[in-house]
This record gives sequence, C-alpha cells and structure tokens, in this order.
Amino acid sequence: MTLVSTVTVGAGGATSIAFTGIPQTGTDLLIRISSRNSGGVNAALISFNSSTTGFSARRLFGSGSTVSSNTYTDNRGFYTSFSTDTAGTFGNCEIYIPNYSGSTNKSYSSDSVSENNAAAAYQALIAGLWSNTAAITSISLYPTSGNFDQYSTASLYTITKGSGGATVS
Amino acid sequence: MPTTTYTPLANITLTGSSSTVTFSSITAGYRDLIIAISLNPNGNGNYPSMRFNGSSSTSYSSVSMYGTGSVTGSASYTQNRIYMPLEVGTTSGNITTIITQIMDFSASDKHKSVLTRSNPSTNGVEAVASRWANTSAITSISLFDANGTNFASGTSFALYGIAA
Repeated sequence: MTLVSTVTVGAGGATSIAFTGIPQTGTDLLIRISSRNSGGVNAALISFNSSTTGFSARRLFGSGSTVSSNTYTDNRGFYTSFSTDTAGTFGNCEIYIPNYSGSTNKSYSSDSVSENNAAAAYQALIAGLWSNTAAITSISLYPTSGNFDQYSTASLYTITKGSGGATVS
Repeated sequence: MPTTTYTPLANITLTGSSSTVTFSSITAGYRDLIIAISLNPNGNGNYPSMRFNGSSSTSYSSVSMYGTGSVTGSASYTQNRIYMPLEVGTTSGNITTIITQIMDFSASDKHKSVLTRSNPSTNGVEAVASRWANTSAITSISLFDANGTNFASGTSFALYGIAA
C-alpha cells in the first residue's frame, strides 16, 4: 500500500478535499478520512473526475437507538461529525475503490462512524456504484452542508495487486 | 521503517466464466489476509462463498447484518462454507465490491475469524462476521458460487498479506 497524498484542512475550513492527478499505476484505492463539518448534516459526498452523475448507493445506518436502510441516486460517500456534535470530535471513515484504473463501472465500499459524547452517534455502511467506465483520475470529498472544519484530514493510498498465484476450475 | 501492508500475494481476473477460484500454497509469513473481489454479476444472481483448506464440513458459522435499501435485518448461519454477501444484482457491469479479512490465518492454536463487507449497490449492503471452527493454519482458500452458477468474465480476485 502506497501513500499518494494527505490533505489536512487549515484554518478557516475548506469546502472540499480533493485528490487530483491520481497515478494510474495501482489497482485499488483506499481513502482514510477523519472529518468534521460546520453544517447541520453529517452526510458527505464523493465525486470522481468531477462527475456527480451516474451514482447510486444503498446504506445501512445506526444511530445508537434506531437502524435504517436507504436507497440513494446521489453520490453518497460517507458520514462525518458535524456542528452539534461534541466539540473536538471527528468522524472516521474508510472508502475502498477496487479496479479504479480499469474500464468497468466503479464500485466502492464505505464504512463511517461519527463521534459524539452523547447518546446519538452514527455508524453507516454504504455500497456505492458509479456507472461510468472511465478510470478515476481525481476524487473530491465534500460535506452536504457547511465546510470541513480545520484539522479534518484525508489520505489517499494505492494498493497494487499481484499476478498469478490463483487457479480456476 | 513502517511495516509494509497490503503485500500482493496473488491475483486473477477472469477472462471466461469459472465455477471456482483457488488460492493455494499461501505463505505463512503474514499475520492476516485480505481478499478484494470485484464481482461482475452473471445474470443469475451470485452467492459467493469461501472454504478453507478444501474443507466442506459443517464447521463454518456466520452472523450478518444487512440493509436492502429499505429493509434491515440480521441472520445467522451454520453451514459448510463461509457465508459472504447478500444476493447480488443480476446486471452485468454493476460491479459489486467484496472485502474479506481473515485474521491470524496461519495460527495453529485458534479458530479462524473472518470479517466480510459486501456492497451490491443495486441490492443492498451487508457486513458478516464468520468463524471457521478449525485450528489448522489456512494454506488454501477456495471461492465459489453457492448458487451453483459460475463467476462471470471480468470478475477479479486479489489476495493480500498484512504483516504483523
């Protein structure tokens, strides 16, 4: 696994975190995010190659007291801690994107938790699909409300597959 | 020097349909294994499953939690295979991502724990915790479709080692 880039949000916050010029030498991508947003909603979005169309997702969501599952036709990416959560708490997320440089539609797996020193904290599992066969060369992450707070970070890694070593029958 | 992780061990992308993919002679030089699967639906519905060391005894148990996009649920299984994902969609090109982690795979003093995340985005999302009730070190892994159909061309399987 090779680190491509780490972005840390500075003073004043940021509307988005972007990775551009993603090297096409890997097989899969892994994004690890620690984030908090200034808005009133904990949902955040992901775009590939500046595109926000052709996305669909299913979510399994727990709040500490309820569980739900939802279907989306937007670029649902992950969940963050947000403005009403305990100060200084940040949500965590890992997004896995296999075969990002290939010529098939792009599927992604997202696991998020938000942190809050209260009864309400959230966990979200997302299954996403970008119905586009283009190789992913850039990724943008952005909250649906407000901006990323200072100290939010995201790191992008490439993972490179081996060759051979498997038999089929 | 940081410990290397996600060391590539094996990989295959199917160029035709296949009923079984096997990783064999798995080196014991790692702590955990990760298998990343990009599943191209075969049009009939897939039930990817996994066995270790060729064992088909009823020694695998799994607990899953899932969401279909409208319904949530949980289920448990005791059967002759590791249960992996919810039934995936049937549309070719709607790729499903499945990530499986096998902890302490080469240990000879414990049952083997497996965590699986499945993402058939047109069907739902699922997380599964499984156990193989066997203390043998895992030296081979077989992946097959319990639906009795084949994996479709374009499906890929990648095996990685995670160092201690």
